[in-house]
Amino acid sequence: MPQLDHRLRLLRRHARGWAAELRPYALDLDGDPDVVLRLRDATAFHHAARLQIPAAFNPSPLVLAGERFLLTSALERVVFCEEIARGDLGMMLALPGASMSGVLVAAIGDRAQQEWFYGRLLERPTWTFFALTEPDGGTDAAGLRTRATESTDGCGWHLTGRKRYISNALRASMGVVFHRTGDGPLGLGAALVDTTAAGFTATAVPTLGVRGAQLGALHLDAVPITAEQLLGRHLSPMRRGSWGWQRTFNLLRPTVAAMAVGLAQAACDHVREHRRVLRPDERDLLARVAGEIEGVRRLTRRAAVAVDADSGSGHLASAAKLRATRLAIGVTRWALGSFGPGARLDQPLLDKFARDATALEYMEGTGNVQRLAVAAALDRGAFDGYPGVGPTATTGGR
Amino acid sequence: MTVVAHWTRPYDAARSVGVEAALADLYDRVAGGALVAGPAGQALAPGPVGRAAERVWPGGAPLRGLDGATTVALPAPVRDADLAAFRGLPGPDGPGWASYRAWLLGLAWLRLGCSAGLLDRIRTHLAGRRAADGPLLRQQLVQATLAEAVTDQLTVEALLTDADPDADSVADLVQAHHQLTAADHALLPVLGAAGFTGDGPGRAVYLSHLLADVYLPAHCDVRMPA
Ligand SMILES: Cc1cc2nc3c(=O)[nH]c(=O)nc-3n(C[C@H](O)[C@H](O)[C@H](O)COP(=O)(O)OP(=O)(O)OC[C@H]3O[C@@H](n4cnc5c(N)ncnc54)[C@H](O)[C@@H]3O)c2cc1C
Repeated sequence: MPQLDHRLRLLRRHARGWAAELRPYALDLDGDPDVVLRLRDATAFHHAARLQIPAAFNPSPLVLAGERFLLTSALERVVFCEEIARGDLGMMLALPGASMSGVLVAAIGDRAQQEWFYGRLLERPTWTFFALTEPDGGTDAAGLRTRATESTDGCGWHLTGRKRYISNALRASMGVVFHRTGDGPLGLGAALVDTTAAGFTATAVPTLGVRGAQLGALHLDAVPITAEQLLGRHLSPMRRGSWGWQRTFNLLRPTVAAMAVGLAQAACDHVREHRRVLRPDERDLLARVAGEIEGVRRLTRRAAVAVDADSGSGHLASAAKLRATRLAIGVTRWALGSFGPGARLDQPLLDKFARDATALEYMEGTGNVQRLAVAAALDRGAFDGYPGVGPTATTGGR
Repeated sequence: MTVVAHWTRPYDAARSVGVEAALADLYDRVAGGALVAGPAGQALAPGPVGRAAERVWPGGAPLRGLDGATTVALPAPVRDADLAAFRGLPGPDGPGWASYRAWLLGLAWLRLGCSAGLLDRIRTHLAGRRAADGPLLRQQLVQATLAEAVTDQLTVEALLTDADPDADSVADLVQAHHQLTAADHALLPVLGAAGFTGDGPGRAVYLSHLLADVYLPAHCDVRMPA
């Protein structure tokens, strides 16, 4: 397949139930991103807030039928995220928790930084942000301009710059800010930031889809940070910079692909549920769509297994993200079309799904970025081993 | 007046002012203060028309006597638009389709203007942006996307310029609308997340697609009565 083993099927089954609790609020969240604040009692909310915390810092991990889940592996995250996004992608992106920052902190944070970050998450449901993109460019991450400058008295650092399109920026209480301390690739870094710090301002950036994610623009006006907040000080400049970032993005990419698969599945489910009588040609198309979704789902799981085995191995993840994005966009538009004229007004949930799907193009590297990555991997022979015995989707209870 | 000259205003307004202004112009030209109903009985009208209309175009039915006619909430990202949406109206049928062809033609010009405006904005936006190895506008993947989309726009423009006002089918216009939708879908991602904001160029594109959704028939082969 990779087929899911017993543990992952268990996780999938539970996550599906949690997602079903969120679905009734999907359109409300589209209208008002603060709706998520009123869902604190929802199971997904409460679990998401405490997932992705490694065992060493996690006294009370999620236990389902005697099995422990940390969601620190890409494969577990893929299974979880597909199901929650199948409930609602906007909701998936609006939930509190370690999210993208958690993966970076796990990859390059030192023990004290991890203790601080995970400790805050364990105190109460906490939103985090991950601020890489700047107004002048998101794709060219190495060209970022936000500066961390050391105070003249040597007593700390200041962050100055602007970030844009940052998920959960307004509701987060901490996160990471990517910056540079000097010119060139070795001057790149990331810092843990508390959003109550002086000079930190977040304003809303309204979007056409995934409006629950409540994107924001950050204005960092000499935000004071201590040297202890600079992530990965124990690592070489390369390891805490582009090398570490690349691995983090590789680990995150299958998750975005899984969200796309979940969204495509949601649109397909909607057609099945609301178009009871299908013409033979429509039935045929539905079957093809279902097959297409399954293919991308399997590719996504393979990609997750590959990055779990080697976080430097992101080419399958690029392929999965590329195809999954096209899938979600295509399937949501097909679903709308299958309801005929006027579907956007008559089927507001499907209209929302189609708007949400377009967000996937930009998350975790645009389509062109993935195309270039896949082409480069092809060029260096990274796919030469395929088809072959692929990785299997078992987790061994990590 | 040539076909093109007739539709210059909605095209220009959509290209450089906005979809709401262009739609107001199109409504003035075609429907004379009535709501224009699409094949599913929906209408998307400029706010002032929505508030004052007494009739439904193309059939001319009085709005007041219609049982099932109701307003519909606009989707969240455009709920602040000065537009009104309705459902439960009598859509075009029989002889109405001949007049409806004119509406689809005008709407295609509006949507072409909107798509051309998107390309204008992309060129301006990308002019100031860089990839790691040079200007974004010089990246071949970007250039390929722009070239394909402008070719679609040119095809639609050619078709609309010489559109036969008395044709007995709307197939050519439905095809033109679908081609515009595809061109927009290809173009919008080139803006990056700037095309995804609720107040950026993607908003006009979304409204254009909402109009297409309300007004395009499900099939190309709607035949007008002889
Ligand atoms: C819903 C959503 C959530 C997001 N959340 C976050 C977040 O939490 N944190 C964060 O930091 N960012 C976030 N982003 C921003 C996202 O990461 C960026 O939008 C993305 O990286 C692209 O950057 P950009 O928008 O500046 O586009 P640009 O980089 O300006 O790209 C514009 C276009 O040029 C193309 N392009 C760029 N370089 C090349 C090249 N070399 N060759 C060919 N084509 C190229 C791109 O594919 C794109 O089509 C989010 C965006 C969205 C829509």
